[in-house]
Amino acid sequence: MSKQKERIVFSGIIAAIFIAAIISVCIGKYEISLGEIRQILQGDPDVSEMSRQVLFTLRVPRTVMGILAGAGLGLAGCVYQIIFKNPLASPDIIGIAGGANLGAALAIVSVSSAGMFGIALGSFAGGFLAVFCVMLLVKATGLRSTATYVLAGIVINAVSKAVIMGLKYFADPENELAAMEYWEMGTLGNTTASKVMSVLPMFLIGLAGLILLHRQIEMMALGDNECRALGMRLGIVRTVILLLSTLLVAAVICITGLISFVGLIAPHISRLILKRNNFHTMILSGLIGAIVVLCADVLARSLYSAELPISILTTVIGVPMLVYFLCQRGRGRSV
Amino acid sequence: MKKLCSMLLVMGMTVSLVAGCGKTAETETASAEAAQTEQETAQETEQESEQETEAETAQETAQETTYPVTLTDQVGNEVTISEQPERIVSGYYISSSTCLALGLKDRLVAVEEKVEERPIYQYAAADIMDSLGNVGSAKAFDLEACLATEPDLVILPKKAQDYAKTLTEMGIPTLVVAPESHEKLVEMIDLIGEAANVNEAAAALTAEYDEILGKIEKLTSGLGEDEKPTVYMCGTSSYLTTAPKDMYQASLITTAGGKNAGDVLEGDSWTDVSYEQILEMNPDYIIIPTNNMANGQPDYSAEQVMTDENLAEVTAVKNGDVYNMPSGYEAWDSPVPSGVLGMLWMTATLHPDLYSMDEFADDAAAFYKTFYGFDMDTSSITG
Repeated sequence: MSKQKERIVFSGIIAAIFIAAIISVCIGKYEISLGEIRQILQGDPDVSEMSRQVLFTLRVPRTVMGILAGAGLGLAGCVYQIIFKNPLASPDIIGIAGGANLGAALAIVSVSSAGMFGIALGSFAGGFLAVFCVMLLVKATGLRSTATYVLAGIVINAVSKAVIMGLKYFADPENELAAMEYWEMGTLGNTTASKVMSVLPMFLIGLAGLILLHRQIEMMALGDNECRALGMRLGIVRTVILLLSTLLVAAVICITGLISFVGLIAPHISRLILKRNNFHTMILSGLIGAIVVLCADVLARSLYSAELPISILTTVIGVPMLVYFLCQRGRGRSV
Repeated sequence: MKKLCSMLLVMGMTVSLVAGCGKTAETETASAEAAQTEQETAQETEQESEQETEAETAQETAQETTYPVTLTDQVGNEVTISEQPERIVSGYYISSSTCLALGLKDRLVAVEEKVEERPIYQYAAADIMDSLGNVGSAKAFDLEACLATEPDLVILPKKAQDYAKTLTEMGIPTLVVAPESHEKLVEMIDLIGEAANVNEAAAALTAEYDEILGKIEKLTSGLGEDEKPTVYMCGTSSYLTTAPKDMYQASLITTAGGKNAGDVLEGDSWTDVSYEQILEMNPDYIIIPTNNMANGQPDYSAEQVMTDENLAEVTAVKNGDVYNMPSGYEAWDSPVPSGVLGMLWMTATLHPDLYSMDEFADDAAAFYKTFYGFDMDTSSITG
């Protein structure tokens, strides 16, 4: 794709995110008109205090979280796919989500009043441990094929699920079990300004780290031998990159709960559009993730009288997008 | 290591739970004794009818709430309410039903989802159904929909604690309630009564509980151990789940003069059992509760239980003593404000010679008439 076309794609998607963000800020059960929003932003004292609070405590943080969540999952998904040289390496398939889920569940059960930070730490540790186990399993088998990664992911997911089931069995149904189920379902419905602020540092560290290491990530796409030939200390760099991307995922899902599919499809759509696998693909993948989650969230709170779990909608929006771009590519080849 | 840790934690939690229950039992006995003394003194000093005395006691204890008032809710949060709430949101069917029983119908602005499926709303709040807002479920609570109703008091279940925190941050007084047992239910009723300044109604409702419990106590106190049948309470999802020792449903059976077959199991929520275990328990009665909405029975029927070959040898099945709790009102097997009716129904089912189903129907109708203001069609109970 030419530089100019690429620029059009990027500006197009940024514009789309911007429009979706405005819609997201305006839509909700609590009615705030555009005029009112303008008044609030101008600091007009006539606007009701509640509208101002809803806007700043709920609506804007929710929109910001939607963008962060999509961007984080899309970007991390792309990084995993590059590092594992595997198109199936999304957080949900190679066991990271399962591990993070287990970590969060353990945090919920073991710390009676597990705050945001406890759950975040739990999901980060669980997620990272899962990645580590997957790599260990792959190394142990000595087979670096796609199937090995997927199988290792299945193993880790199964183990996490079994332990979670045990925890659920013993959990207090009114409190811990509800918290676990709620967390697994995924929603942006309880995002508040303070929560976003509490995970923002974690998110930014992960994001900045990955951006700084983008050259190393690109090099890894070439292959291990090439990296070594170029003088990279592969083991350390890979671990740091995995830590950073898992941090990014953990920062997102400790607030939103599990959001399925975004980490898998965003990188694919991005690669199908750009037809290559470099830093730009990573960024575009993050942007695509952001627009998918943002649209899904707007629909989640407006389709039905009650809020729907966001994962239903990320799948509903993401799958047609992926199918469309796959067909496009198929057609492009046959021509 | 992790597993070991979690096992230890589970054990620790169980111990604390048992300890907690012990404490409740103590307080229960203490309050029961106090109530008894009170009643005795009343009987000695006044010759009036029992009901009048109770109404008076209720009025004496009921005070006006002076605002601002700071209350401690059922998860230990301190909640300050600056003036008498006029716009109440209840995100939990048990607290919503309590609001209706306390005469707060006109102050309710929004409740939990699926109200049209819960029969009690049709009977007791039909006129406000269209104007009631929907704030979603405890798991997926709709914060914005709640705020849109401009509430000055929000009542949420323990499950939705996290949302309560957000609402409190936004300056809306939010009470978290956890009516997990009869005592906790009474505590919740008093809490809501005080918060909304309907102390009198709350006192009347809890006095009614004491009267009903006293009546059951009187009816069943003469029963010997061998006269108490073993009762198997089926779970709402399958009849291969039952109420273990520490579950509310177990207390329902013991209160009504029965022995809970599930007492051999530890725990406080529906527990899976095998056919073999049921055969071993060999209950005299099998009770099927209503579904959670109370608009019908669970996904299985009494016929299915009766015709299940694996249960053919169970005494209850052999004698045809498999009963459905009446549906169409509220889930009487759970700690809802009308939960005492479940205890009465159980008494009538287990000991029809002491207390007949017709008497129960009259008592149930009187309860709903007094606290919910509607006439109950009792044909489904007596028929």
